Amino acid sequence: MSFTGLAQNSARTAVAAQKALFFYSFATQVDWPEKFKSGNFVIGVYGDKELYKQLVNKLSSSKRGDQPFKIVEYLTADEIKGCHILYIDETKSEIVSSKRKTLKTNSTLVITNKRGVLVDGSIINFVYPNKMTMFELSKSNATKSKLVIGKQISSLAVAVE
Amino acid sequence: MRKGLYISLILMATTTCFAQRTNWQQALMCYQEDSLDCAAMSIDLAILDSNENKAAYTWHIRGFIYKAIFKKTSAKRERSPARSKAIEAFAKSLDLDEAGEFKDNNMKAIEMLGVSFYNDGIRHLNRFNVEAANQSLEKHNITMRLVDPSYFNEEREKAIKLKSAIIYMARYNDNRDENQQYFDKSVEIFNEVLEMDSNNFIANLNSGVLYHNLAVDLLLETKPELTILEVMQLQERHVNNMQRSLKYMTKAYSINANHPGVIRALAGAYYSLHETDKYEFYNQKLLKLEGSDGNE
Repeated sequence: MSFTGLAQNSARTAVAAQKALFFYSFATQVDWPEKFKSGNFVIGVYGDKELYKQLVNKLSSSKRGDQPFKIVEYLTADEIKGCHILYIDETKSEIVSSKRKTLKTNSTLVITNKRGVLVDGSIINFVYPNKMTMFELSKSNATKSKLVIGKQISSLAVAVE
Repeated sequence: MRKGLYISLILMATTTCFAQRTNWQQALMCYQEDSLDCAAMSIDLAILDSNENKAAYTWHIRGFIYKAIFKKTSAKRERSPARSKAIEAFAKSLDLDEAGEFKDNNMKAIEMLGVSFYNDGIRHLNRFNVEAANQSLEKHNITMRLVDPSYFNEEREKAIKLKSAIIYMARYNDNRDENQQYFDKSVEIFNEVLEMDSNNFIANLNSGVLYHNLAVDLLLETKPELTILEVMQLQERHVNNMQRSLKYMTKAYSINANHPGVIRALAGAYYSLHETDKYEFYNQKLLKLEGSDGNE
């Protein structure tokens, strides 16, 4: 059979890569309080192994200013500790509300992947209009977490609360 | 004694007029004695002679002599100039032969030599000589059109072009960053095949694979230091390529709805385009076919 085969990387990996490409901008175009501007810049991933792999692949050798990126995969909700960015997969989205207070205290930029989850405390939520990966934004949740969202993020969000 | 030169009139002339033998008569005698070097030398003199070179049979004989030389050349046969000299001679004979005395044999000989180019093309269908394969196909067509100006053999075109496109695709896959030109080449040739035969499964499938992998690579191999605007632009390119892939894969699916590679590609494409219902349809079909998840 004259069929050379698809890339070994599956479409699931491609979708994870679509999301991963946003994280550098989210990390560099959001301003954190001073006390979070030293040491590693920690990105936690809960519930999406492919995204974790893509973030490791794309960011683990980069820095946000002087802060080296550190990508952490959480296998249980109890493992989740202070991190600058936390991605929560749609299958685990219940922890957005259950961990809301801790995440807010730690100025964690919560990124999710489920419609309607901004009301539970998420700050950036991926949505998929027109076959593309885009995002909606809750500026009010960001403010509550003492995060300042950059202009480009605000202007390119498909919806801003 | 060489057989097969079936021009009794000329034979008679060579045996009766040896006292004043012309160059072509000398060539014919050498040819019959299997002395091809001697035959070539004499027939080359014949075509320099202003009387002899106006005769269709001079060129007819020259064609057979060089055809015999070509057939006798074993190593690097296709580089031998004898074949092109033979073709040129038979074509010239056809032009001069107003009575059509040698027409059938000239045409058969040209066709035989034309087919030899096609056979060369088939032999060249490997990773290192694919360009020569296509050149041979071109020479085949040019030669066959000396006999029939409308000559076009779809099966022969497809046989060489399909395999060529697959070879270029393999070269591209060897190093996708540096071998972009082979992506373009394979797409171009698959499209030529599809212009001949829009239902060609292999051309549709492999064109779909090329664009599918290109779409995925765009995302996987891009460095992360992009602005959000650049990420959006990159995604647009991803979507465009995935949609191109879908066009070919959908056609391939209409030809063979049970090919796991096609179904996997369709499931993957719809997954990456976030078209959940269509992804589910093809993923379920794949599960039934081979019991695996379309994205694993």
